[in-house]
Amino acid sequence: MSEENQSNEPKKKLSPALAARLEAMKKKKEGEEASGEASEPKAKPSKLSPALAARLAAKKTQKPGQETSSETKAEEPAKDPEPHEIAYNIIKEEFGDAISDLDNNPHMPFFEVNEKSFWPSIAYFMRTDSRLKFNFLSCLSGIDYDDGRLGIVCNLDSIDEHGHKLSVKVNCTKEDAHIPSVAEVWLTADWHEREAYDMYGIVFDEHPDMRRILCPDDWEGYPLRKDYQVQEYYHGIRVPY
Amino acid sequence: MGLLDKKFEKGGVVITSVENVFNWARLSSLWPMGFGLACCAIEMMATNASSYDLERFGIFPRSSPRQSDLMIVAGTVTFKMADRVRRLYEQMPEPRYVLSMGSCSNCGGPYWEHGYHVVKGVDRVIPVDVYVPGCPPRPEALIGGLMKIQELIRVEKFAGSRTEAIEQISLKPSDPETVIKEISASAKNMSLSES
Ligand code: SF4
Repeated sequence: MSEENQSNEPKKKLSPALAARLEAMKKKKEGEEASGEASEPKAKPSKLSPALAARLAAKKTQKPGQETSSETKAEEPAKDPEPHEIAYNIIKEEFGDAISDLDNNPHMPFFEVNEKSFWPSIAYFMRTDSRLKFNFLSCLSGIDYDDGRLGIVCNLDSIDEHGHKLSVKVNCTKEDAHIPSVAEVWLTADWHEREAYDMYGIVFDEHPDMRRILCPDDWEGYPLRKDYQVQEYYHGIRVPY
Repeated sequence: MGLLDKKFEKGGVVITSVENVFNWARLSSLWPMGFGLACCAIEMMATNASSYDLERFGIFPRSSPRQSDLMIVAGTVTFKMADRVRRLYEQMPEPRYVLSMGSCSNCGGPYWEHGYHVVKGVDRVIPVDVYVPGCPPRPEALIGGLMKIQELIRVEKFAGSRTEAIEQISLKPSDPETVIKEISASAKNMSLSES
């Protein structure tokens, strides 16, 4: 049961509010496991806390409006939802407005985290919930959108469990380039976040070892930012050609 | 001893200059630093391996700069590595030679414009004696470069400087065609004398 040992760790570092939330989630999960995993997501709200149920109800009233706005979407419920859509709906139920709508493109379906402080608990939920089990972070990349925003893209897989995949984007601004670290949730994120820091200058809060990983420690600037200027000299060696 | 058998008849005495003997000894056992920096290093390893067999030139990679007299800079020199390359070079005993292998260490190679992290030529860090062009250079090209180093050592004088030796070599530039002709001619002679 190494999984449980790992999943217990991040809890220590989370804020009390998040810890309480995780505790609630755990209890919920136990309940689900007893009732079996095959139950449909629509049956879930009965098990949710009153607050969440209210939030869900609000969302439900929202949804029909959206669906009628485009005809193609109105036809969709007839189709069986894809595995990643089911997974997204579960996360949306749990976190509501903290995450954006699903961008259901055929290449890399993703959603964005609107409130970046929620990112570690979303990550923890995605990794541990028995219906999601995103146990593999295949890649964590940095992006400079060239409009004052920086961000990361996390490509997540559920290998050997459900087989679904989903990507998550978390953004921050250049002035306040901070994103909470998920290195405690997926160990892979440790070096990937260091690389994103090295190349884009995104500081991952609570990261166990926030240093540059490729460039030398005394390197100036973040090379993959769009506004990066190559330094004239490094240790007395001329840099430009 | 097959080749030498028929050459020394009268008591096996050879008269030559000390300089010649020393230079011959040095150029016949060039020991390069055993390290590679990028893809070019793969070609260097191939050159060391059995098909191209650098050991027939007495060239054998050493694991310590203290035992080496040749540095083959095989690959991309990043700024992070440049400090280490300089340090290794400084640890090698004199007389030492540097062969820059491949476009990257010659001039930055494919990274010349956008490679913020690549030194645009290892000669910005350490002095280079021979440049071997290519991306990567074939083992034959590397062997050609090594033979150029041997040529350089052969003409070096005890009292002279390295620059003088390089000047002397550049006085008689060899174009590839004549070299090919010379070599194929000598190969023909050899096969004639053997038969
Ligand atoms: S010159 Fe070409 S082969 Fe050699 S290290 Fe550079 S990129 Fe690689």
